[in-house]
Parts: sequence; structure tokens; C-alpha cells
Amino acid sequence: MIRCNVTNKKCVIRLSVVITALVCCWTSECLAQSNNTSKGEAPAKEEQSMRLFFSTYCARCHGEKKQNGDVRLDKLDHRIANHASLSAWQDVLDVLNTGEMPPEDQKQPQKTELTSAIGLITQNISSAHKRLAATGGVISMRHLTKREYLGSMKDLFGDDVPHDILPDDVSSGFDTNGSEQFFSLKQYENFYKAGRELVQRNVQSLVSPLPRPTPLRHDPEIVPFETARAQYEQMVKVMELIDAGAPPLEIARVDPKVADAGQVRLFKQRFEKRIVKPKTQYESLKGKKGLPGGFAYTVDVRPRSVYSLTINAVETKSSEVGIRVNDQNIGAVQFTAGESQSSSINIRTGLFDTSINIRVAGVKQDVFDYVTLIGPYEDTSHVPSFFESVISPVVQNANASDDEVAAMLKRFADRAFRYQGFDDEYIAELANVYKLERDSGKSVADAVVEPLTAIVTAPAFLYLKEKNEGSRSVISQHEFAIRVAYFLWGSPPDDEFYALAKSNRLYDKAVMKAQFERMLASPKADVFLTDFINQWSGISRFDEIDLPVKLIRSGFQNSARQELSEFFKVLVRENRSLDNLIDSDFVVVDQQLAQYYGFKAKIDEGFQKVSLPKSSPRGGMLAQAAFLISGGSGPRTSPTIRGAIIREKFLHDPVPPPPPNIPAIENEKGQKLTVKQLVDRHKNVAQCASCHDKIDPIGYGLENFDYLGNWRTTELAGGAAASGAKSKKRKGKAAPRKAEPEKIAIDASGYLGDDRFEGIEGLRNVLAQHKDQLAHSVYESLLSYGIGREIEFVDDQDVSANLSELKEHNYPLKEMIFEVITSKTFVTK
Amino acid sequence: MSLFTASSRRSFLRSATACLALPCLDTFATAAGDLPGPKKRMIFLGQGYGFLPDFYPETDGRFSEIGLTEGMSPLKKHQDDITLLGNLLNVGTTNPHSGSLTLLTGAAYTSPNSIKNTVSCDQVAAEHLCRDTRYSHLTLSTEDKKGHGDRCLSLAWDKKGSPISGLTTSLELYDKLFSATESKEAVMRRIQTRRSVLDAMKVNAKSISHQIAKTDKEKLDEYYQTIRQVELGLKKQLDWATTPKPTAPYGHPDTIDGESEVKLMFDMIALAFQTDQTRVSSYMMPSQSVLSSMGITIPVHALSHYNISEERAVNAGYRDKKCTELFGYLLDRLKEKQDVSGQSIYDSCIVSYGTNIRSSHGIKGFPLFLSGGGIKNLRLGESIILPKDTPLANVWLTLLQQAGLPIDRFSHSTGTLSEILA
Repeated sequence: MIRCNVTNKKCVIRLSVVITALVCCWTSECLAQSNNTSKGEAPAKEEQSMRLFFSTYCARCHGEKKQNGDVRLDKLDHRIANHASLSAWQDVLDVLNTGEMPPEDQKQPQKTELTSAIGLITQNISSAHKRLAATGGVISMRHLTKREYLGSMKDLFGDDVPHDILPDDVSSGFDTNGSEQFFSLKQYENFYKAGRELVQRNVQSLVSPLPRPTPLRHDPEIVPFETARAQYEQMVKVMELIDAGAPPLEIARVDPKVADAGQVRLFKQRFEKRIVKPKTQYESLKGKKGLPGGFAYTVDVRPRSVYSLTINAVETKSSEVGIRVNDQNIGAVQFTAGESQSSSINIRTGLFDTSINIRVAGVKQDVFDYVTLIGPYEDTSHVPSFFESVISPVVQNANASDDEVAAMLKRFADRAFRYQGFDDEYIAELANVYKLERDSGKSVADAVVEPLTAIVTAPAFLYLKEKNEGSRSVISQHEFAIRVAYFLWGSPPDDEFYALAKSNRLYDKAVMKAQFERMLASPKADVFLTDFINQWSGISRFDEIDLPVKLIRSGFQNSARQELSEFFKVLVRENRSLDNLIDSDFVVVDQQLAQYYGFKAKIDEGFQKVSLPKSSPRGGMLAQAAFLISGGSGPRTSPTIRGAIIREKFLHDPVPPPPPNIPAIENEKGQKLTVKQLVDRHKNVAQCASCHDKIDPIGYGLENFDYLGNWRTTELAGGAAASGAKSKKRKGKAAPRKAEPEKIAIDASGYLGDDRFEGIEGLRNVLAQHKDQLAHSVYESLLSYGIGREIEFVDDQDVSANLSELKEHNYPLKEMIFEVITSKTFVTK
Repeated sequence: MSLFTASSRRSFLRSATACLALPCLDTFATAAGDLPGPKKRMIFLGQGYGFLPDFYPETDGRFSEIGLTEGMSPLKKHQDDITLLGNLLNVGTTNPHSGSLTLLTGAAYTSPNSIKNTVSCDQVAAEHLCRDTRYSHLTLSTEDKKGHGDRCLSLAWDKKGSPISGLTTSLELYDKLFSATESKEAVMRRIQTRRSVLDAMKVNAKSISHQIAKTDKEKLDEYYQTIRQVELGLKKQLDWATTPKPTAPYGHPDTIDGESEVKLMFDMIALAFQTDQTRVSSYMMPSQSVLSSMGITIPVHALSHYNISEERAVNAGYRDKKCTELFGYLLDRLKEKQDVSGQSIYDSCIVSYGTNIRSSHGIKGFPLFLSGGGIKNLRLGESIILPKDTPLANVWLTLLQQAGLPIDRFSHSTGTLSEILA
């Protein structure tokens, strides 16, 4: 929450004085907080039970009198105040997990005792890790993430930059965490390659001459006709050879797939059936003018130009026919039903378009004769980018003076470096690079490429830098503007935002609120809303799942991956409550997903809000296909994975990694087990039960959704391939014989702590009771993502104060984000 | 030695890493100019995931006498040239999911969030064996990182403990090894420009250093180091500007499946060694894509939890055999190729192939194969069961020493392994 809610005009004028006063007040509070780190210690009751466990089972050999192996446990530091005691505890945990201790000939703990001891130690160790890794809130300088790099480049060059220009970032937490980033040689080279390509293409587009427009005709029927003819004639030829008794070798020359006696036999068997399609197609196109339906083709073009596409139809039924370029809908051409007519539409090519794919999407009754693409023409509607306005006058002047070039480099660097300054010496060095290039015989346009590349690979561009005088303090408004813009937009501030920072008005809550609304409403915020929720939910897990080919081809995979972010955009922009992540009375889906979920709604283009019928189990994040599929393991569900994600994200209680060297769970062959029974075996081993008891039972609540997220009321128990997925066996190896799977009713009952529940509805109710934890999880994640560091104990006070304010309004999401950027922590470095 | 005495192991570890914090490798940097004896070459392979419990021989002994297990059976042809070490422990590793993070480094850490890695043994070797080769090391990796851990860019880590990113596709390696050479003038001109660009970067970095928090200097230093590496790379390019690259003996295929990708990488490692482009290579190998190319649809992580179903165990068995088959493929390539001096690449090589996990979640007694004729008295053709919890770093130390490096310590090593030498 921001303290500076001054809206009175007079106050604004004297704002700089006010700000200085506030800065001091915030800073001292921050400092006071950092001493408050008493959290995370083992509560006394748990410590007692741990001591009892040690004195009962360990003290004889590792106590006051005897210290076998130099290990003494009665003196262990239960608060784990330093790394030495952390190591000692880790050793204790290791031997308990492996079952090496207590030794076989000594008194053994009950399974429940062991489970609870292991659980306690594991938990203490992981909270000690967090405590000992705490930095007191230090934010490390970081370089731009890929997302931010693309946003920054777009800001300079005006065009969308293709995503494959840089490889994806590798990170284990949020990718904005500076202390987790490494800058390696490979990364420098990637930035250099990407930067150079962008600069070069842009410079090129400014100086390359516009050729005379020429028409290019495409006849859509030729390729399908030739394909059908070739296929038809090949089949006929093969059949003739077979009938003539030709040897397989000779036949294989016509069709390599028919190369031995077996394939010859199969070909003969299937011939009658398989010839039908190519034959009909061949005959229907033969001698006909045009092609019915739609078609697509690819053609070479000049980047950043306009082309006119004319479609000549033999006859049309549709009044308009949609045109897609590179899979983007660019509009429709108009027809009046009837014969022989033509209609045109303009196509704009982007900076990276050296060829485009044009799709004419007609219906069966439309017959298209040919299309003509005429161009390139100059794109007069093109708004010059910052880059163009600065670079164009120089590169189009073959006699540009060195001073003009230096001034141009300076202007470009100024904006690229987010107006944070640089030394004159730097520009002198760049001018030197330019001179070297010129001396080697390059034109002005070619010679500016390297120095401009040097600007977009310089540390002042690649790093988001913030000053700090040695202790935590409030950042400048300029730095704040940059932080906010990269948070909400993934790109630098625009002129308006820079200007407000310059006049020191951003710490005025009303001004900031208006800016926040403006920025969030901008399409640039889509980047943030999408990327944040995807990173928070760990959607990359979904990308790693091998889906059935059918679902990939149909486009389901892409749709399912987008569902959560489209949903989240609606929640934030409509300022809806966080509750909706647990359950909602609407979903945001496209046609593909609507069909998958069995809704009748018809959705035209993209994603739309659809109200849910009462009977539908969908709604919220947990019933979304991508989440459910992420929680699968091969062709079965994994309540463990689903439960672990819920535990971490919704209950804000991350699960520690599985310990090494634990005894394996014995498998009894021939048993027919449901997934739940299979997973429940974790209970039999104390080492597993200590954690799994907190995970698996949560996941059980979603057992009514199979591994592809479809609703089910029964499952097939006993077969690993229960859900029908086949795994190919290698040739010559027989599949192992399996017992016939058995159909069993789903048991979706589970528990969270002492709360028992039934199915997804029950699970939602329990999670709703714990929504404070969800709020904590989302709020801390937003903050962490925004400031680029882990949230530590030092932040607790600020976080809980803001959360309790938000709680009064049931955690509205847009407000939550505003609270984050106006919180003390967000303006502190 | 029971693990419980490992409390003392951990305190040892702390003191050992304390020593490591010193740039221990610099102490002998001046001593090693030209190493004596014939050229040695080293290959380090990391697989990710473990093998089935019955992959491992029950006893020690020569494979020709005790036989090969089913999982190792594809190595029959090479059974006298491979050794499998048992009872190894990568001291300091406590998390089976950390993958290949410390396979070649042995750095101590207890949580994935608090790791500070240390230099990997391939980089130590490369510094000494690759002074006069075109490439100072060949670090190969994969996009398919399952089993290796998210933080691994490759198996290699530099002296500061930062990850070194490898070439992740055979196409990248192909382009690196064979791409057309420019004229010397063109190279000189390009390098001159690049160098002046780097000068500008240094000026910019310097001016930034006044604008940032003290604690961020370290971050900026990463950038400086990178610039330094680019400069060194340019210098090497200049040195090699007149030496043509080898011509490609085959084209790169347009599409390639997981198994063929690994084979092609192996082909090119052998070729790079044959033409003496470099003498040290590490390869963080893919698992999922190889499995997919075998037609197995169970994800590899799920497969490593064998006891869920019989189907998984059966397919895991296929995978184990594929792994050893591919390892055998590399040995074939090394044996059939000869370098300029006429000796087979195999005879100059020290090859290791291992993974951080034994089976499922077990990280003790993980497998490590050794092979190659680069160490004359290396015991080959055997299953060697070492004393319980033998530090992996001792293996690396022994191999590095035998490759001619004058060092007496690597990571948390406690000494040389006489057991693996005849």
C-alpha cells in the first residue's frame, strides 16, 4: 500500500519534499523489519516429541555416555541456527530414510512414530534452508528475460519480434530472479546474433529499393489435381504389375512401400477400397475449371510492403470469404452469390516475412478459379518506429558525416538504455567501430549495423540496473517506472510514463492508479498476465506430456495451454475474486475446448466467457484440461502430482523433494489395483508416508477426471494401459501377458489434514476454507516476480498487512496487483 | 563404512570445499606446458536416470567369466574393454532429482536452492589437454533435459562454478565442425570489428559499475568474464584462421530421431578427435527422445519408477539395453578411426559413461563405466566392486592424473583409486 495518497494539487507541487520524508519513513520501517526473523523455528511441542524420539531410539549409542561414529544427538540444535547443524540434521534424516538407523538389532520405532519423526525433520530442514538462504531482501541486478528482451526490441523497432530469435530461458523459479541468473558466453552470443539480425533487417528495409509491382498468379487446382493424378496412376500401375506377375523388386521401383511378397498381398487385398478416394478426386478435378472449397499456398514476398490479393471465383455461394495470412485472420473478401466474379483485399507483410502462407477459406459450394497477388507497393499506412525516425535520415544519406552518425547513435542509445545515461567515451568507441567498418569499404547503411548491434548487446541495455547505497532504500521514480513497466508490460515505459516519473508524480496514488488502469487495459499487459500465471502454475509441465497425436493435430494442445491465461486475464481485468481459481461459474474457452468439455455454446473466434450449467464439473483452475493432464503419469492419473501442485500453489506449502535411497515399495504381482490403491501403498512405508500423506489424499479428489481431463465414474483397474493408450512393442518381442483389467467405480474421497471430503466439489470447499493461503501464494508470487527475488521473512509484515486489507474485499485480483506495485517492498531495492 | 559415520564425511567435505574455494588449479598451471607422452583424449558421458536393479552384476570379476547381465548384453563385443565400478558415492549429493548437476563436479550441496557448483573435471582436463587445438573443449548437450535437472545446461561448469552451455543439437555441432572457412583477410577484418565492439562494451560496463549497488558488481563481473571469453575465442580464431576445417564426410539429415541424434553426436566426437580439433568432450545425453524413437510412449521419468507395473519394468529393460547399445556404438566408432599418428582413437582415449542414479531414487552405488586405451594400466573387462561409498571424485582424480595432469586433488577427493589400476 502506498502512503502517499495526495491528490490535492498544492501537495503535488511540493511532492518532492513529501517523497523525501516518506522515503525516510519507509526505509526505517524496512530496517526494523529485517531484524524480525524469529519465524520458522520448531515449535516447542514438536521439539519435545523429537527429543523423545531421540532419547527412546538413539540415545543409547549417540547420547551423553556413548557417541558411536562421533555422533551425539542429545546436543543437536533444534532451531537449526547455522549450516553446521543443518548438515547434522540432514545426516540424521538420511539414515532414517534409508532405514540404516536404528540398527536392526536395536529397538525399532513404530511405523507411525517413524513417519512423524521423518515428517518433522524434513519440514524443519526445508524451513531452515529458506531461513539460512535469506539475504535480508537483497535484490540482485538481473538481465532481461527473453520476454522482456522481445518487449524492449519491439519498443525500439516497432515490429513484433519472432519468438524463435532467442532460445527459451532456463530457470527453476521465476525467471526474473536475478540471483538465479547466470550470464554465459552462449547467452552473449545469442543476444548478439538476435540483435544483429534485428538491426540488419531493419536497416535493410530502410534502404532496399522498392521493385516494380508484378502480378503473380496461382491456380489452386493444379497441385491437388497433380497429386491425385500421380497417386491414382501409381496405384493403377502397381496393380498392373502385380497382375502381370512382376517381381517385387520391379514393383518397388514404382512404389517403394510394396517391396516384398507380403506387401504385394496386402496391396492386392486393399486395392479396391483404397483406389476410390484418389480416383474420385482425380476424376472430379479432371478438365474442370477451378477448385471447390478452400485452399492455401505459400509465396515469396518483400518484407514491410503491401500486396493486393485478387480472388477470381468461378461461382460463389458465400457472400464473404475469409482470408488468413500465416494463420492470422486478416479479413474477408466480398462476393455477391453468382458466377465469374472477383474481389480483392490488401495484405501487409511484416519485417520478418520473406514468404507468406495465404489461406482462402471458402465453403464447398464456392469454386475458385485463380488468385493474383500484385506487389510490392509501399506501405503508406506504416507508422515509423523510433528506430526508423532516428536511423532513416542517416542511412539514406550516402554522405552522412561522422558527426551525424555519432548523434544518431547517441539518440538510439539514450532510448535503448532507458534514459539512464552513458559516458561520451562510449559513443566515441562506437564511432570507432563505425569508422573501421567504413574503412573496410562498407556503405553507411552497412557500417551502422555493428555499432547499433553493440548498443543492443551492451550491459546498459541488457541489464535492469538500480542504484542502492549499501542498505535497502527506496528506488528513484525513474527506476520505479522501469520496474513497473517491465512488470505490467514486459517492456520499457512509454513516453507518458517516463514523463510522470520525471516530474516525480508516480508516488501519488491517484496518478499511479490511473496509470495502472491504463497499463493493465493495454494489450501489452497480456504478456504479463499470460506469463505470470503460466509460471506460477508451472504450465511447462503440460508441455512435457506426450498427448495422443489426435489431440495435437486438432489444435487441442494449444487451446488447452491457453485456457488458464485467458481465464486469468478475465479475472484480473474484471477485478474478480481470487476464489475463481478454486471454482467459478463460468469458463473462458474457444470452440475447441467448448467441444472437448461437451458444451453446446458456439464460439466464433478466439476465447470467450461461457456460463456454466449447474451440472458441469468444470470451473476454476483445477477442472481445466491442462492442469488435469499435467497431473498425469503416462496413461493414468497421478494423484501425487495433482496433489503436490495443489499443495504448493493453492495451500502455499511446497512439498520437499523425495529423499534418496529410500526402500522401494514392494510390488505384488497380479493384483488388480485402482490408481488410488496403487498410490495408497505409500502409506505402507514410513519414509514415504511422512510426505505423501499430505499430498496424495488431496489429489484423490480429482480422480473423477482421467489422465486426459475427461469426466469418468469408473476406471479400469489392473492394466497399466487402463485408459486405452497403446505402447508399441519392438518387433519380435511379444507384449507381456497381462491380467484382464476390471471396471471399478471411482473413489474420489480424500482428506486435507482432518478435513475429509468427497470429489471435486468437496475438494473445492476445503480449499475455499484455506483461501488465505492461496491469496498468500498468489500475492507473494506476484511480488517475487515483480521485484526479482525470493520473498523472505523480512517481507512478512508488509505482505500480511496488504493481504489483510485485500481480505476485506475477498481478494479482488486487479486490486491485489495494484497493492503489489504500491507496496513498500515493491519500491525498495 | 556405514553412512552414519558420514557425519564425519560431511565435516570433511566442508573442509575440502573450503580448500577448493582457492583457485587450486592455478598452482600448477605453469608446470604443464607440453604434457609428456602421446596425446590423451577424454570423453565424459552423462545419461540421467538409473538402470533396473538387475542391470548390475552381483559380484566382481571379469565379464568373460561372470558374464554380462541382460541390460549390459549389447556390450558383449566390448566386454574386455569396459569396466563397471560399483559402490560409488557422489559425496554431498542428497537429492536424486538434482540429476547431472554435480556428476562431474562433486560440489557439495543439500538443497537445489543453495547450490554453489564448482569446476567440472572435463574443464580441468580441457585446460591442459586442449591448449594447442582449435577448440578448447567440445561440450555437447541436449534440449531433452529430463533426468539431468533444470539447472544443467551441460555437464560442464567453469572455474567459478557457472554453467557452461553446450551445443544442444547435432546440427549445431555439424555447423561448428564443418562450416565453410572464410578467407584470412575476411576473418581478420571481422575480428578487428568484433574486438572494437568489445572495447565499447567494456567502456559501457565500466560506466555502469558506478550506477549500481555494490552487491551487483558480481553480476556485472559475469558480463566482463563473458567479454573476456569472447576475446579469447577471437584470439583462437585468429590463430586458426589459416588452417582449413575438415570437410564434411556426410550431409546433416533434415529430420532426425532421438537415437540417430545420439549416434550422429558420437560420430562427430570421433571425427573431431580424429582430426585433432579438440581432445576433451563431454555429452549430456538425451533420454526421452531416445525412448520416443524406440516407440515407447511411457515418459522416461515414469519409466524409472519400475515397480508400478510390469509394463514399465519391461520397457525400462529395453531402455537399459538401448543405453548400453549406444555406448557400444561410440566404442565402435573410436576403435575404427585412427588419428594422424596412426593409432586408433580408442587407444588414446579415456572414456567414462555414467549417471547419478542407481535405480529409481537410489543415489548410492550409481553406475560408472570406464573404457579406452588411454590409460595403459587401467583394469578393463571387469566388474569392480569398490569399498562401500568410494568418492566419485577419487575416480575423476585418478583419470585426470593418468591423463598426465599434475594434480593431487579434485573436488572432495580423498586419494587416488589404486583399485582400478593394474
